[in-house]
Parts: sequence; structure tokens; C-alpha cells
Amino acid sequence: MKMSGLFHRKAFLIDLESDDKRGALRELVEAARTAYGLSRLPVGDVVDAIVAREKLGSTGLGGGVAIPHVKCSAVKSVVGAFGRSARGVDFGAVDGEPVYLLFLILASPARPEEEFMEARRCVALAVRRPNFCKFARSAKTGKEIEELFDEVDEVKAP
Amino acid sequence: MPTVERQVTLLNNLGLHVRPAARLAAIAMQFRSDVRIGRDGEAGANAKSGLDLLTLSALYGTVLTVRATGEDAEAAVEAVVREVQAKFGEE
Repeated sequence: MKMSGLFHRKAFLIDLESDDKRGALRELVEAARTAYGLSRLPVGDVVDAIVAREKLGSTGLGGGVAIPHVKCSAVKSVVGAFGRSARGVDFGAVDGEPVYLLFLILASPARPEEEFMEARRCVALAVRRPNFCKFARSAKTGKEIEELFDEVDEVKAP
Repeated sequence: MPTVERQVTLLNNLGLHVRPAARLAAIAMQFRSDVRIGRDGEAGANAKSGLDLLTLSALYGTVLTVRATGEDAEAAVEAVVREVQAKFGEE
């Protein structure tokens, strides 16, 4: 699974407007809806579903990264939207720090669970690469981040 | 410094996905010991990093080796094992 396959160019928000969790999630879900042509995706409901599950446990895993995700029947496979916040979003992360890089994953409930897990693992592997977060946070354009994702894809996962 | 090691099997349906990884990291962070969680004889991921844990890609039935080194190693391993056995509060 590749980062560039999961995250369509059009689903990159390199400057999220919202400082709050719900707002940031809404921006990401809307971006996914537009990027993947998911006209039937009910943005409000999907955001509510993600927020509800975040209450069970934050997907802010630490290090300024969050991987919010939910199953969504409007989606046919598994897709992602990337968001970057300059100021940081309070995500209730495990280390108490704000989140600057958000990777939203939406997956069809009809697809195998392993695919959903693999998508999240793909993100985790990318983010753990040396300097990934540094470059993603300091990139000036969406293109630079796209290139970063492409670069990550070129290295085979262990 | 003591090293404590125990094995525990993942019994929740979805395995070690994002939220369990975050919960384990939050628990491991409370201890001063170095805590590692590995599978299949591998060295193991840093348990204080949710991202590291997520890359284990451990599904239902995977046997995890929890290893801690430090003054509170015993307590650290105990806490992690208990969380896994409790299925991370999911079921």
C-alpha cells in the first residue's frame, strides 16, 4: 500500500483553518468528499462518528501526529485525506501535545479489516521515517509534501 | 537493573490498531523503564511510541513479548499485560 495511492493530491490541506478537533476533522472529511467525488458522503454524520470514537481513545498517537479513521459506507475502498495545522490542534493526544499532521482514513465496511489496518500502518511507517515530520511541517507547498509521500513509497516497507 | 519479560496474546478482534496502540503508549509512558513490545522474536517496538506500536501490525491471536528494563520493570510489564488482557477496554 502506498502513501501516494492512499492520499489523492486533491485531498491535501496544507493549512488547516481550525484549531479544534471537530473543526479540523470536518475540513478533512469535506476534502475527502470533494477529492474522491463522494457526493453521498454525509459530512456531519461522518464527523460525528469520528468524534464519538475519538472519545473512546484519541488517535493522537504522540509526536504531533493523529490518524483519525472511521468506516464509511459512502466509500468503496480505502481513502485518505492529509491535513497540516501550523498552530496545532488539541487532539487529546497521548503525550498531551498538539497535533500538527493529521491523516484521515476512511474505509468501506465491505472491505477486509486487514486493508483498513494496512492503511493505518502505512501511515505509521511513513511518519516514523527520519525527518518525515520535520519536512512535512516545514514544506512550503502541497507539491513538496506530495514529493515527500512519493519518496516514502520508493523505499520498501520492512 | 532488572529486566522483566512476559508474553501475552492479543485477544481483541481488531488487534493492535490505532487506539490500543495509543492506550499502551499512554500506559508505558508512566514508567521510567525502557519498555519494548515485540512479536515473532523481533527486537520489539518502543512501547512509549504509539506510532511504533502501530507498525507491529499485530492482529488477533498474535503473541506479543513485553520486555521492560529498569527500576519499575515489573510494574511496567504488569500494567501493559493487564491492558492487553483487558482487550484495551474495547469488548
